[in-house]
Amino acid sequence: MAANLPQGTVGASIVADLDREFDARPAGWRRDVWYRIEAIRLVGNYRVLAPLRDRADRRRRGEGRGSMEKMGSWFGHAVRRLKRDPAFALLSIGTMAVGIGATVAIFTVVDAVLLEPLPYDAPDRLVTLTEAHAIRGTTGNVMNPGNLLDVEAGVDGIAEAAGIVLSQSMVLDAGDEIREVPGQYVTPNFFRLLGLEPAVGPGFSAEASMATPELMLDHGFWTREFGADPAVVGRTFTVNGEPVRVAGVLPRDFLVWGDGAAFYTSITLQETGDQTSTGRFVYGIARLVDGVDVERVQAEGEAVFAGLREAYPDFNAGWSVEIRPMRDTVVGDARRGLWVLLGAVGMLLLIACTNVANLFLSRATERSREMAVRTSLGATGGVLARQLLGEALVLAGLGGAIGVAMAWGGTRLMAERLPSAFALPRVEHAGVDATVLLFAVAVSILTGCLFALVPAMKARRTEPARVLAAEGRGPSRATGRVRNGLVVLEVALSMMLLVGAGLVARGFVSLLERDPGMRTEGVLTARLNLTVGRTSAERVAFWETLMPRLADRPGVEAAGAITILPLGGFGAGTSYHEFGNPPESRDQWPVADIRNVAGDYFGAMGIRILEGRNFDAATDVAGGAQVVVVNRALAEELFPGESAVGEQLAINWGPLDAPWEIVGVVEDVPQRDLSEEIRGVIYHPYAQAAYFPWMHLAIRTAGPPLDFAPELREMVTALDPSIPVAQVETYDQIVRRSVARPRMTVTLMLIFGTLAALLASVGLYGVLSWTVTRRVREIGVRMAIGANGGSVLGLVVRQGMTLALAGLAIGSVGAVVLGRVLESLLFGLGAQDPTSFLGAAGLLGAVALLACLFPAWRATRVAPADALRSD
Amino acid sequence: MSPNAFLGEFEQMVLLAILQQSETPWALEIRSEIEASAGRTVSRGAFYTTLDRLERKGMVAWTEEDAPPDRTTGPLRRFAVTEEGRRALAQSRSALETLWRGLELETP
Repeated sequence: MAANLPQGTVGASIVADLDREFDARPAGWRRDVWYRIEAIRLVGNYRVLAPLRDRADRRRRGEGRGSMEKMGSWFGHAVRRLKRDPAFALLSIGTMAVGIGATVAIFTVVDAVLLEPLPYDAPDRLVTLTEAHAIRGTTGNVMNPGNLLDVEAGVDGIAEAAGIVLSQSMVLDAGDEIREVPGQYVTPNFFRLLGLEPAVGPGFSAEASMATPELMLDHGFWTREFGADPAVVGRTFTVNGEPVRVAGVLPRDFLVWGDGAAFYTSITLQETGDQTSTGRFVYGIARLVDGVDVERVQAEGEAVFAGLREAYPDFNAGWSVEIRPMRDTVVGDARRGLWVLLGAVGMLLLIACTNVANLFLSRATERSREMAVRTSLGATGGVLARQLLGEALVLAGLGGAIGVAMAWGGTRLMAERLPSAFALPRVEHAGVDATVLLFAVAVSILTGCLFALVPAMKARRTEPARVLAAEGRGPSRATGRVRNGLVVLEVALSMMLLVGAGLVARGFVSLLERDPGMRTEGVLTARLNLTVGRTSAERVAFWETLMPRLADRPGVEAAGAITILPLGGFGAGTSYHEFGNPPESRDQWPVADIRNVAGDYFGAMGIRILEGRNFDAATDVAGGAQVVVVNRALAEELFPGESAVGEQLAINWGPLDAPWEIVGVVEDVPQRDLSEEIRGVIYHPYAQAAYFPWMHLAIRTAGPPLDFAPELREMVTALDPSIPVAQVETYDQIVRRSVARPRMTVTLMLIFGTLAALLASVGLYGVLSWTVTRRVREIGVRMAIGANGGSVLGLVVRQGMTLALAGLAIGSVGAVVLGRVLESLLFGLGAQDPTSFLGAAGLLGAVALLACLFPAWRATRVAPADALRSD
Repeated sequence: MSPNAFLGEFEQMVLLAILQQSETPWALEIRSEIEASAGRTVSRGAFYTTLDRLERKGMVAWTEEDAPPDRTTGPLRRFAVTEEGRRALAQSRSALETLWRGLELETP
């Protein structure tokens, strides 16, 4: 059209003039023939003669037009057209900004966590090694160091393996003050295997490590605690009472593994001796030989483990090795939640596109007659589509730019202010970079094309005769059908998104409402590490002194301690069986968590004693009969229908030939996370076996827990000034941290669902407003012949709600499918949870009704006389 | 006044047809006027391109009617002859009159 007729009002008026003459002529085939001939002649004149004249003119003026200029003018036209309709432009840009902004924000996180290569040398060839126990369903278990060394030696595809022992409480004496910080043990080749060059210092050397253990400082810890002083390197610190030489500082962007650590101490696995006596405590990493794939290495590893099961049947029965790409391990279960979120914003973006496509259509129908005539005049669909595309790209581009700005601000804000809210590995690297910008540009162009597509196809297919036959009464019914279809699609997508958000939210609430078996509020926790220079008898003595003193303090209701707090991150497990009654084969032994407790731990945590008694510091002492308290799950599993108290266990943690007597049964408490399936837990008095050098205090206070913290520090310092009081926080804080990731998923899903409902209602409102305008005459006639406001209101609302209900129905079907995908995020809530479906339907229905009411009310204000005159 | 200001025959007819109307006419009214008085059909394309050219020369101006009284959607342009157009018409006329002076052609 642009090529055939002048732009703007001039061209439009030429077409309109032709139409007016058409209207003035008597109807019939003659008129149609006349119209075509006139149109062809008109266009012929402009297409053939006018350009010739223009070219002659330009040559005279010595001008030419390059393709860049053409592009410029193409966009220039688009911008001018949009300027003429600012409400349309702003609404479209705003909608696109929301859609693209949300998508880009989530993509920045996905990119940082899932897509960017790990910051190591040739990260594709890095794998992790863990052990798995098929019968128990255990995966990702730490390895026995001997098993790790045997796998390294026996698998040809592994070039080299290293080991890491995840964060432990360590006491670091750097000469100035004593710090209790998380530290990790790594093999001397660990950082070299990753391809990491130290930021400062020479790094680990295998030979030096054999003599004195070495230590690498975390970059952040080094900056914070030592003022980034390079002179620290080469000095000798004391870690847990042993001298350790500082070999260097890690680079700033070292990927934190697990919860991170302040420093990494070298440990040599060969020194651990008999492999069956040391248990499982090390994660393996390995670099594969070039060109070897993970499947083959896994198969070779399993072959090695078959030998290990034969060589050490008691220790290795049921165990095998798992070799996985390192990225999979690092990202872990964050992957699914992130893909779900990306899917959710994708749907939001689709809804935004649908909305803008609808706006485009309503604008296009305002000009449909002009378009039809221009088509009949010879404007090709391509020309029309190009014009629409120009406008669409301008809108999507502006929307995209605003969206990227929003995403940039949003992710920075979240990464800086709420790092714990993300609770994702590597998320601190999230930011708008080249990949993200490329993604944003691609999304903008794609969405621009997408929402220009429907109107452009409409423009292509326009049948002039039909449009003209409508005698200027407005847009065709076909356009109405497309617009209705788009609204139905939009409502359906919103329904799916809202149901998804509802399911995830309700799953999360059900998780929080699940009875944890303890009272999480009102408890102060802290960690005390007694590693340095103390025998286990001295440690036991310390706790036996501290506990009663704490319990006697005014304001303290109960005080206890445990090696690992519930929901505190990791755990320690052991296999066991009823004493004297072992299962037939070793791999059938059940597994339980094992914890040492001191003081009145159960009282402090509000864990109910169901049967039997609590530990008693006076009788349950070292050298006395070994006693344990077990949880309900273990008691019911091993002694169904009868009392477990007085029964005896054989526990692999200690010597198997000595019985451990059950003196009490306590309520189940989740250990790793709130959603876990409860398994057996064995509590054992610290006095009888001080396995760990550190303990976590749990103090139930009458007042606010943190108010007691200064007093606690005073008491510990008074008892022994060399013991640092670390990680002082309330137990509620630990619980909150344990649900940070699902909380983030839920929050974002709810935001996206709400935005989707809003966009859908805007779309519905737009269509109905447009319909009312289109049907003004009909409504006027109805009112002239006696229809009252109520029936007109009903007419419009009925039309809108029919669309909404169709969308809800389709969306429900989609949501059922979606629910299956979400199942793993629902924490046991059924994917067909009726509350989520009804809630989403109710909310969307209400919003849709509101969107219908205003246009409907407007319809009732139609004055019959005006309506008829307007025709 | 530039040499361009000299008007072609059809241009003169268009300008005169506009001036003949009591109110500012729209395209069909102008074309009907020409067709009625000149006794020949006017090509739509030539007509519009002439109008455009006259506009470019600043001899014709148009305004868009706010609400066309008919049910056709699309803008309606109403045309008027500018001061420049009137001057050009007058000049063309006097030029022709100068040429015609003293000549008497006989129609065969």
